[in-house]
Amino acid sequence: MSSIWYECSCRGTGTQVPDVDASPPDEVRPTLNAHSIYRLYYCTDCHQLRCPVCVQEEIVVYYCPNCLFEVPTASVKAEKNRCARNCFECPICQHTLSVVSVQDPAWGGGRESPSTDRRSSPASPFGTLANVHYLSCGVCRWDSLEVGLKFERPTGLAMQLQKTEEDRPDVKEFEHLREHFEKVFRANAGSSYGRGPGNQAIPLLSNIPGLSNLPYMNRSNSGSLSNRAAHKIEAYESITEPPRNALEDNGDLEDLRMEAVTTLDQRLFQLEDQPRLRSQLKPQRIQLRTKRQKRCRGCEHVLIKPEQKPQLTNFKIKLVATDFLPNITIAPPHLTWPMNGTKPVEVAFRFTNPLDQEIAVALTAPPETVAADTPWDVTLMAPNFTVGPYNVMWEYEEQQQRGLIGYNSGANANFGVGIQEKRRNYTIVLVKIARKALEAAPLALNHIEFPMHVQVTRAASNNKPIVDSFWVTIVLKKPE
Amino acid sequence: MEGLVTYYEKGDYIETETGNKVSRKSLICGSQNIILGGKSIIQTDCVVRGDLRRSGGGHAVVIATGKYCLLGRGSVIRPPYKTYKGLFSYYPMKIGDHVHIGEDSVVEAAQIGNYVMIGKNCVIGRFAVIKDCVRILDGTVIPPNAVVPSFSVYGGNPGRLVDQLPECAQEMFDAYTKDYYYTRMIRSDMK
Repeated sequence: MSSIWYECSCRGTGTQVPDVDASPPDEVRPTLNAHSIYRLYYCTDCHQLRCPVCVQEEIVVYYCPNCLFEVPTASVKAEKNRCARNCFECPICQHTLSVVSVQDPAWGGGRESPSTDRRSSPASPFGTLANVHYLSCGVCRWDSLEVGLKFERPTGLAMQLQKTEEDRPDVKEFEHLREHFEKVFRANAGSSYGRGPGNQAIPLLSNIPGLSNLPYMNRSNSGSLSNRAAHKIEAYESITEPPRNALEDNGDLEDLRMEAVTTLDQRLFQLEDQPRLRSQLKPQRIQLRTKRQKRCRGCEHVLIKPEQKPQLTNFKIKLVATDFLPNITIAPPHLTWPMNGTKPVEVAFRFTNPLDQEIAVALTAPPETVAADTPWDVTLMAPNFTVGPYNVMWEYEEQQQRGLIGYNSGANANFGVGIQEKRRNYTIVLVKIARKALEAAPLALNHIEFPMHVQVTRAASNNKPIVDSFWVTIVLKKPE
Repeated sequence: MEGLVTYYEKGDYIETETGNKVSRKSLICGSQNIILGGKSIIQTDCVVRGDLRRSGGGHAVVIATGKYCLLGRGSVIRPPYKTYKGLFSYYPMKIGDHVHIGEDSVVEAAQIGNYVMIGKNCVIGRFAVIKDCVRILDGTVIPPNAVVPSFSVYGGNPGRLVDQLPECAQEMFDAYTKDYYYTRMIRSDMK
């Protein structure tokens, strides 16, 4: 599929690359640094494009993707980034599990009543029956009774599992480690905690307790007193043994059936013990997702600020490239493939202006030194042109005035050299492409790629025009 | 690359005052229970089951769509059903604005938000809840009772998170659905 790739000025490094305008993108084919315009942001202070690599992200809110409830940051750490309500994932297929209740057969019941929300079981004429609640998967038919997991109440399942989770060897080991390092850190407190060379406070260090106690950090400050204190702490002793080597269990191999063994994906999902057997797989609580705030790396200006509530999809601040830069698309008539011979073909590009003021666009092909390597000869028929402003009143028009209906673009007057159409807020310009010589690689028959430099100028309120410039890689491919 | 235009004969589609275009070759059952939001398109061979309604008198809305929706060729839209306390009943299905459902997809979700693009050959299970600004890739199977949060791209069988949509997804889908309605379905006598 043909596409237009925009190059961010950071070229994937995350920092400003000097003299970007003179150097076209490094390789002919779009690199990982090339993005569609929909993925790019625009900083209105620096007047620069920003890509997902050169933005700083900060977390605004944590939420569970299943119940869409917001989780306060304090609970996030306590619950280890997982949902603390009733959201569980099937260990076999990773789909959300539903809570199902069954009347305990010992009381003469046995009627199954699936409940996907947290409703308590209905009272029965036999009196209050012991209700068994368990988790069931709608996709692979797994249920938690296969591993012997039952609940007393249909709500607060995570609470009911909390005791078993705390008894897990890896959790106990982690807690023991944390206590040990807290002792170490308290012993070293006051000497070099949270301070870098020259005794400045380093805020990042203070967020990670224990990090400042690394020997590297202690170098600059007087360490003799703190080192003596550190020596008083005993060496760490772990309280759990390493897990049994699975390879030694050769005796089980003869009894194993394929269905009883877990797949690699299933094992990696349950990281604490990575069980080999299906009967050892436990349902995992669902991991939380985040909404992030993005900042420009150059000037710390906020580019994207989402709403605090997880259910809302709008943004408080949204500086995306599609609102500021012209969107370049390939307009009909489309090329006929394959491209044979050296006869030049004309490709029409449509520049759509999102702003409510007119813009002047200047196109330049890459300099001759670079273009000599590429098999394509690119002639820009309209190197300078303007694109009209966008008028929001067009949203309310009748169908007759929109789109292709009623327009007869062929019979229209001349717009200028190389300009096929210039209407409303778009301009279609022509570019002539010719193959240089037939020794070009056979790949070139169905695939054309070349970079182009675009410079957009618009008037600003203080009469000093704003100029945005960026490189674009054009990829034309035969559609499959 | 800009999309291709499909032309249809005047007699093939019914056009309502609110701008809905319904194909005569589609199978619409229980049309009195179906609400189309305006400027929506129902293409040929599409099956919309508005007749599967919950028992009980009175006027009930079984399937409601928003503006600028597209129910693709051969798609099946039916409301979800459940047996609760021994009673079998259908539940209403609510589709938001700017929702495109691809060809041959089967949709039984309970609720689809705004600005959702569903691909071809998808299966959306019963009582699935799809929030705003979501893209479901071609051939995805969303299991029953699943919740698809905003700005996700789901794919595969069972549907899993594959990608995140950019923040401008809403404008992107808005422009696409409007452009589809105005410029991609043209009556052949208005070329």
